[in-house]
Amino acid sequence: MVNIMVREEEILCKLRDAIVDLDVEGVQKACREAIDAGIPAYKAVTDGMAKGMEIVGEKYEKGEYFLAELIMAGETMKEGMKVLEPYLKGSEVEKIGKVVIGTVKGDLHDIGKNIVATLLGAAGFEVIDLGVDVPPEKFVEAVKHNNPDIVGMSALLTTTMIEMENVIKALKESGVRDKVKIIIGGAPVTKEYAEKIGADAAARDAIEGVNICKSWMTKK
Amino acid sequence: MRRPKFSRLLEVLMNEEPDVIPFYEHAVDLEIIEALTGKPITRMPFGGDDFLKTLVEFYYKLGYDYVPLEIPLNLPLTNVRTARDTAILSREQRTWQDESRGTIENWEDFENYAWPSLEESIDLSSLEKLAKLLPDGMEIVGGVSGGVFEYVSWIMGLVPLSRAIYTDRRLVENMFERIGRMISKIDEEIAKMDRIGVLRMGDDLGYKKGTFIRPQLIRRYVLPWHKRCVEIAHKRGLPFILHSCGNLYKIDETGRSIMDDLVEWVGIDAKHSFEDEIKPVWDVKAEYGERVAILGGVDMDKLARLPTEELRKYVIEVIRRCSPGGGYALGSGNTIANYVKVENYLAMLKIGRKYGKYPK
Repeated sequence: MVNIMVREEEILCKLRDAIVDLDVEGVQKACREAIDAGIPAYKAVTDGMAKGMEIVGEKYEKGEYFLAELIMAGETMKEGMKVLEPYLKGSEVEKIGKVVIGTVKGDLHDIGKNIVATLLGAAGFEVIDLGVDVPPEKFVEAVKHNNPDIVGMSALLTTTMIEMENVIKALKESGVRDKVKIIIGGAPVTKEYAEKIGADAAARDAIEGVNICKSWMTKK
Repeated sequence: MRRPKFSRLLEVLMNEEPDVIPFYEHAVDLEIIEALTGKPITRMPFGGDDFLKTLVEFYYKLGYDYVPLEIPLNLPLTNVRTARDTAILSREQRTWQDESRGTIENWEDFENYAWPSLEESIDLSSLEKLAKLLPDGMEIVGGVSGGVFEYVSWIMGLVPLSRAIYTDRRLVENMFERIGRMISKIDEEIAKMDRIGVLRMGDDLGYKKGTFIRPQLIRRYVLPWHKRCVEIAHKRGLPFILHSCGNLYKIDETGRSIMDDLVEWVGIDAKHSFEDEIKPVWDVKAEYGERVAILGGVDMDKLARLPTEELRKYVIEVIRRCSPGGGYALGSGNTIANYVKVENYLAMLKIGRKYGKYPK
């Protein structure tokens, strides 16, 4: 029994380290080892790869990792998920919250949004990613249909950022604004702008965004 | 109307104080030029006579001492997408780089890519034509449209580039080598051309929080080409302006920032592109102003969104804090994009004409 636990711990550490080391081959190998060793796929995600993503986030905050490393960590995690997905059963994983996320209408920039979605997923959120160029009515429809805790919006340019206000207006008009927390991010986004348009928070980067979402769920 | 005098800009680039604070823009979107000249430049072929005449008219009338013109490389891209343009002066469709997909993602793509010869890689005839149209007192601030890092990230896509850094370093090295060589060779040609007064490059290296890739990689793959282009300019007696967005001010384990290296090792004469959220231009001026000229810095977001009266006060503050010691030209922190309020752009220039003096 002890040996099995040690073996499990070893594999989970390998998974964590493969994410931190941005090692695509290593993560695929460790995921296969996890499955062969009978480790539940959700555990390989939450206690292995997700722990690695946390460390990646910390390294980014400390200035040891840069945007390319955040992107690559997300790519590495995706490769691991490809191996684990056939073994993942939705009901096995307890989610800490649900987020609807998208890049607003007129804007096709999605690096930041994709990193946030990956990190949220790793942190235990169910993420409904609406993609790019998302009109306000699609955000409203997604909120009504999925009943999320949080809506996240991203924009790259000042000219597309103003669409965020339209989304909030549409959520208000549909009577669902007060059912969700709203977080915004992207190059031109500031905390003052978030306040002005009635969002609950603005994130300077993906890591801050995920931390804010986590703190909201803790307070719930 | 302020008569053009190119020596003003030159003095700024030598960190001196000309008679008045000149204006500097890296670029003004064609929709803005169309709105202010009444000429349909958005429908004119790039580099044609009417296009260039309208460009000259615009920069002359608004009080610039030069005409900027950058020429794009003929490098085919398949990884671009379009969406409806939401700007005030909409161009209907805005083109976006597909960051998740590259035209070149692997070694096979690299080898099969239709790399043009140097002659085919760019058409410099519009710079020749522009030289003949320039009025007295104006020169061309010219270069290739896009920089070494930008072209590599455009062709590869930022996600595949990030991946290749960790999985196919040979590809990354060859991409930077190919693009860096191409741009520097073209810069050699541009620097020889008639009426070129300044050589410049636009090469965005980062975003709000830092650089896109590790500073060590920028130092290894990008800055040597920047340095080469600066040397080409200087050999011809031309100053070199670098426009580069992003937070380049973070000190890393070397004890230096990318901005430190641009100023001290690469040897740029002037830096353009500033954003208040990253570091207000007056703070950059205070830190680097004795070593490099600082151009622009009026925050884009404020130009696009502030009520004009508030913008006026802010521009006066920018001038007040950036003008001491010379080596400063007034302009936007990035571009007069088609979503900037035209009245704010004009207000910035008006304030510049009224208060644009270096303190004695």
